[in-house]
Amino acid sequence: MKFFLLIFFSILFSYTSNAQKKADSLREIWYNEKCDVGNRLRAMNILIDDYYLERKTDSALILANKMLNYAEQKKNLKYKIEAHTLIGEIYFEKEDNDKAIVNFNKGLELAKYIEDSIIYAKKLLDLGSLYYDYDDYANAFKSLQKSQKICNIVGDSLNEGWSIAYQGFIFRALGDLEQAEKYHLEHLQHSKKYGIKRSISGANGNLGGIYSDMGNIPKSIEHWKEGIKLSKELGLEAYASIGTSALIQIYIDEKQYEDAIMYLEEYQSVTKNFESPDYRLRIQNYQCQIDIGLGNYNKALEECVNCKENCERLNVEVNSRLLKSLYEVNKKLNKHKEALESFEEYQILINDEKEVKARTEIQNIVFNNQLAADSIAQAQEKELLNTTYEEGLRKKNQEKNFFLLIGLLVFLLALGLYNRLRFVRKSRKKLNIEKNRAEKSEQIKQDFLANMSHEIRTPMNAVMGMTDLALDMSLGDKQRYYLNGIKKAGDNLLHIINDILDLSKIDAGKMELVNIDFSIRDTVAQVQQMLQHRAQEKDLELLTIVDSQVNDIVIGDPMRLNQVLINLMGNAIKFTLKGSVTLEVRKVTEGVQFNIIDTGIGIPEDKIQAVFESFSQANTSYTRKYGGTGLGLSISQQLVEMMDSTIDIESKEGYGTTFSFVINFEKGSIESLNERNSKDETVDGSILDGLKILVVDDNEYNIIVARDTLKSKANVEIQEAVNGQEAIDLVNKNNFDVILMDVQMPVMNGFEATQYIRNNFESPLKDTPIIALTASVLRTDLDKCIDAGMNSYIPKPFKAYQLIGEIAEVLNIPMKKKKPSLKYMPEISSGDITDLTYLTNFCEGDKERIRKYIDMFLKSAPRVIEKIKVSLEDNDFEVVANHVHGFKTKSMMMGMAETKTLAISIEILCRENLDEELIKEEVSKLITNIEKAVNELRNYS
Amino acid sequence: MKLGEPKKIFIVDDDEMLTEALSDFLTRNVNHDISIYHTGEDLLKHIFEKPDVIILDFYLNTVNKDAANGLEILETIHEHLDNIRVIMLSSQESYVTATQSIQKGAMQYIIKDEDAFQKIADFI
Repeated sequence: MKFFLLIFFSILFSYTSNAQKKADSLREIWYNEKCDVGNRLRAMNILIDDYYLERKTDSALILANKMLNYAEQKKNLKYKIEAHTLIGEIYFEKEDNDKAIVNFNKGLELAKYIEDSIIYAKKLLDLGSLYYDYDDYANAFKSLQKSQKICNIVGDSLNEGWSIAYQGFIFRALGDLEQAEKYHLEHLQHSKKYGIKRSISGANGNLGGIYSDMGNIPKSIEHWKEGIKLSKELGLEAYASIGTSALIQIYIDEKQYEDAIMYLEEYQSVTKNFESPDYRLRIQNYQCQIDIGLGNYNKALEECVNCKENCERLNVEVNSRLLKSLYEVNKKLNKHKEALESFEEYQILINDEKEVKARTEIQNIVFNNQLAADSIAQAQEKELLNTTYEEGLRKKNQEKNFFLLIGLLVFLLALGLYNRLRFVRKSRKKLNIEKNRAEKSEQIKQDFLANMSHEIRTPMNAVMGMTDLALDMSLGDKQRYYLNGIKKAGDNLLHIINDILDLSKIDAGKMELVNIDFSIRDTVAQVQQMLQHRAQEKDLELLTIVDSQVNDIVIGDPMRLNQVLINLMGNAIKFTLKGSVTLEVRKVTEGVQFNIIDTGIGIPEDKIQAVFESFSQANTSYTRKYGGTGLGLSISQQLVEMMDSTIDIESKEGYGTTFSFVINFEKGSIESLNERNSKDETVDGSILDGLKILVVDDNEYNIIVARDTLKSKANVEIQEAVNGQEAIDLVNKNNFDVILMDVQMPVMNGFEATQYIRNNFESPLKDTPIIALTASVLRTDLDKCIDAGMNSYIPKPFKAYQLIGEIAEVLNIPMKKKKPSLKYMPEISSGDITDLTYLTNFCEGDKERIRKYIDMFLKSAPRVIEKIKVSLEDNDFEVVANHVHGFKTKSMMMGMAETKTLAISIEILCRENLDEELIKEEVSKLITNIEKAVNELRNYS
Repeated sequence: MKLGEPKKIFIVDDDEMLTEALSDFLTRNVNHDISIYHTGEDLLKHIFEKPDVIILDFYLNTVNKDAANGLEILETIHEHLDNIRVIMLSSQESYVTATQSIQKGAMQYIIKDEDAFQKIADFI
């Protein structure tokens, strides 16, 4: 015994002296000013930890505060957080829970502040476990859930696992073993997934305990054994011994004494070198229980009494089992007095435990209440959202959710689109095979296009519409920036969707070209405008030249032509690193030739054909470097083919490429063009004031977009319905001026509703104008609308002016253009020859400036007339041409359109040295015009 | 230099009305520094002030046959200055003159019609 004590104390001594040495060296580092700040703080941290472990809480606290001050001084936030955490732990040890929580929270705040999510998550975990120790399970749970989430996001799988485990502990403490099992199983899975061995063994241990509580002994044993095995592998004997200890108790309870003894022996040998007296006591306890079980009562009694005395001496809590064992053995030995004593003690302890159980139940109730309250609060917020959304989009909270909604929609859309893209590729192959079957395949193609069109356009409508509405509000800079980003992305998305749909349409033979009058020069100008900036960004010259011989007004499809030109020019810009991109339009015998010439990288000869194949660009590395979906060229080729032409390519690697195609246009007329242009974007919505409109759509967002669009432009009364049946009910009770009807709806769709109205109502309800809001742009679908009795249709997504225009047209309301904002409205005088509209607009209504230009004209005009007369007499036609040339701009400014044309033709005549007689005739006409103009303008006031 | 920033611009055209109107138009939204010359020679005298953009009429000096015309001025400009942006203006919608201008170094060729001013402004 003495020998043993000697050894024991020497070990203890050497341990403490080692500890002392360690502490000294740490202290040295701390006090050494030359040491790195980080090192000093780290040293201090370890020192405090040690003190804390040794329960020297006061010293630890002093040091911890020192550390905090130092960290603050050196602005080392990381250690400041650590310091707060340590102080928190120390206060907890001292059972000053309030101060503990305060410090933990400070650490948490700081972690949030430095935006170090990893530390923040860890602090949340610490806070959670603190609350757990504190028995505040609701707060612990919240903290731990947060911690779990953040750990997951930052990839801190170790602490994520711990968050999960702790949540399991909470439920175990609340007695909800099923939930606890669930969490610990999750922890096990998680740890296995990330290969965190220590956690795996820990999780096994936890599960072992749970199953033992649940009475599932075999599972319990299985998990404990697994846990022990792993701990041993990791060399964590102490952890392993916990498992061993648990197993011993289980085997004892199961009366499997042999196994119990086996494990007890192991336990003894492993814990031999552990200092804590707890182990010895435990061993005695087990031994006692085993002996009772084996019937060795006397031995057992001795052990139990010994154990109990040791407990009391060492101030360790006596295990209830020990008391129970004492009671049992005393009874068996017929020592009734002692048995009674032990029994009483046991009962007291049991009562305490019952109290604990009661407390647990209460905690359970509190816990669940708290969680329920939280979820009600969340649900109420949602309620609030739904009602106040309609009331005012101005509220800031609404805007936040707005953005979330848009973001969600965009995300869902992107997701849907991604899936559709895959579907498209697959189904395109399918379509090709089935093309050979007649009617069946037609129907399938139709449905597919209609569905895809609808499914994608419907949410797109919502996204674009809502974004536009949002941009109309007063926003902060950042919000506007984000919304513009969404709008741009939405436009691009729409662009891509249209590309895909185009391709499908073309493939299915559904693409139609329109035949309308349009101006080639206008189209070319649009192309220039759209691509100007892109070219300038790359420091490239962008030129568009339309030869004067080319007829301007022709009949064709300007949008598709525009699409092709922009695609080809865009590609040219993309693949040109320096130099220029030119669009040249000239007249050739076969028609009008469009040449897109670039000085780019060129296309290798063998790849020229591949260029047109869908989804590929000459070289996949090109695609990566230069971007793009590759659909554009294929679509362009097909569109050009539909215009009875074909795209030719000439290219030389390193020099450049020329794409060209020739279209034989029919000549058009300027009157038809002007008629078409009367629909303008700047339409005045107030023409709809006072109307009563019904909007019918099953999609809530579409209703919102339609309603808000109309309400922002006009003073109208709007009612809503979500399907045909509701619409009919409303029509029955109200006299609507016009109905906007979605086509695809449940219960009763747009066609059915329209037909019902047309067939079953009396005039005037029967004849209520109905406009279809359709996501489909197929001719067949649009025809169906008219057949069903609808008056007109507007394809989705629609712009405000389209909606207003269509309603106005259907109701025969004359359109009003929004007048351009002038400073004041002057009288625009038009004479016969002169028309001051252009000048007035140019000068923005500023009378003084208008006057200035008119004076300039009046001064120079007579001089020009003189000079022309003189050179004409001299038959100096070139000079004549020069003077006339100079006059062109002036005539343009004064709105002398006819005169300008005259001047142009005179110039050509002169330069080509043609018919003298003709020239003289034209010139005299010109002079007369100019003199007239001078007279008219003199009278301007 | 970015679009929309004030620049030093020379406008060269013998048509007073045009130069006045163009100058007006360009300074409407941005405070450019604009100088107007009516002959090529005037321009060349001031060429070393290094403007950012020169807007040049193709048929410069329509009256005086002997004076240098737009193309020649263009060539001279490029002899003296690299990296100058020249916009060629013309009432002539001719492919030939356009290519000639570009070949001689003009950055852009704009035809004098109603949109001309806007196009020029966009380009600058």
